[in-house]
Amino acid sequence: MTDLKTILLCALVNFRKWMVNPRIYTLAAVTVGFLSWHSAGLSQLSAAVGIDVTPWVFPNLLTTSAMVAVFTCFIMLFFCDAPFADSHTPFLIIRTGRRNWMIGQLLYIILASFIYTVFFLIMSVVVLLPNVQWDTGWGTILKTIAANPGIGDNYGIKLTVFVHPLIVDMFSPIEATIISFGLFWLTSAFIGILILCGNVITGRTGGLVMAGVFLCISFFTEYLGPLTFGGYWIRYLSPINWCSICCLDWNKRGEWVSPSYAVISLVLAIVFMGIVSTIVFCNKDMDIQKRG
Amino acid sequence: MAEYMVEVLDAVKKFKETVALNHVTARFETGRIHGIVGRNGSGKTVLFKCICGFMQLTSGSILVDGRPVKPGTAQEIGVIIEEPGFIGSLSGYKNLKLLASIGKKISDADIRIALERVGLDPDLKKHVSKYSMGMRHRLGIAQAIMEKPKLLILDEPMNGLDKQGVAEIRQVLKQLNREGATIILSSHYAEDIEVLCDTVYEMDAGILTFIKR
Repeated sequence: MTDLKTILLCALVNFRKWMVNPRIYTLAAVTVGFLSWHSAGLSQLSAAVGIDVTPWVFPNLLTTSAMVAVFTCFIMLFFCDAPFADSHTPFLIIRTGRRNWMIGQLLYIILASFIYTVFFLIMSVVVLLPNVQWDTGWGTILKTIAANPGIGDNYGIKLTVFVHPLIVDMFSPIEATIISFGLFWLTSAFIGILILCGNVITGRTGGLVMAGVFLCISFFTEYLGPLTFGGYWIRYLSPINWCSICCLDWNKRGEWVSPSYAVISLVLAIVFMGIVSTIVFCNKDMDIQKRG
Repeated sequence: MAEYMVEVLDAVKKFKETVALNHVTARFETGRIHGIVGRNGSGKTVLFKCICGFMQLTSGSILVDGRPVKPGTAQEIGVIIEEPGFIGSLSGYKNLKLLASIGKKISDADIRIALERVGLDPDLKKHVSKYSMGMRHRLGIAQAIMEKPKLLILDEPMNGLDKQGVAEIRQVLKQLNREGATIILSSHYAEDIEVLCDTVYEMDAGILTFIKR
């Protein structure tokens, strides 16, 4: 029988294991290190012109394919060992049943993706300190970069954050942050459940390979895809790109995937892979890793 | 309660070309202690995993307390298979409390009793990550027995224990058996089998042979 409390407990057990999991500390450190490097140009520009940056950098962090690839690698590191079975797992499964336990793992991925998104959002502001100006508008620095991406060159500063002019024009910072947060979370959960599903089906690291394939597709889509296939339809097959607000068709020109298509596809894919994972896991031998 | 707590009927388990269980048939009487001896890789652990529903048979069937084992469902079996693992950032007591919260069959006092029975201090605040191998095994046994299951499946339960520990755990298992539990265990120690078991089987290359009663 499916029991909500048991499912929640199975998910929470994984969070309890974070404290003794070096991978979690590594991921946190690498994320902060990456964000520090990525935002260093902004801080330097802010100091050079004497104007602080507003804290709305988050929607503009994944504006290039390279940054999307880095983000994907972080999520792959986070969920690489899905379905998170270790020598503690038999004690749980004998009491919960496999279905409850597996649904707990799916819930864990969704919750952990949310926490990671919150962490990413907070750290994107923290790394800019003390050059942050608390304002509900985009602010001078971000607007200037949107209008003139080469502004850093005037001061000998290399900027890696590109602010999309369309986003600045169309959305308020809060709107853009909320939308970006949702997309980031949804895509993280999609990658996590993709890894879980592939790993469960293959019994090995097939899910990680599948995530790697999607990563390659996302690169191909942006650089060679439209040239090779003579159209933008390939973007409809690259869900990882949808983590960025800049990669969606907000002005309905047809070059990008529509936001509703992206959200519905990601949700359907998550649900479908979740169901497949649960069915497969309940009907095959348990593979327990000797750790934990 | 069924006459046989576990019935293994013509069980076959294959991994590609390897036959781990080769037409195994055995009936383990309720209320007794059954021992299975055999070398590493002989198929003992695979049999235990199939009884617990962690693995599925290629053919044949297994009944526990008269009901067929369904791989996906929770079971009232106390189990130790291979090396026991716990959440390293919690104390032994908190680990057991977490597991006990799933079934909600026992009180905090029962958890304390289970820990004391295996020689662990329930008030010990030390995290399990800092436990010795022997302490981890004792904790593994405590989690298996705390809910007083009718069936205990113990794969090498004495591993990592010192002489005194082995003697204590033997006493615990005997006591549980007197209270009505059926125990199926495997052990490398011939003495465990001699002292504890009412019936003994030998597993060799996936074939289970009855040795003595």
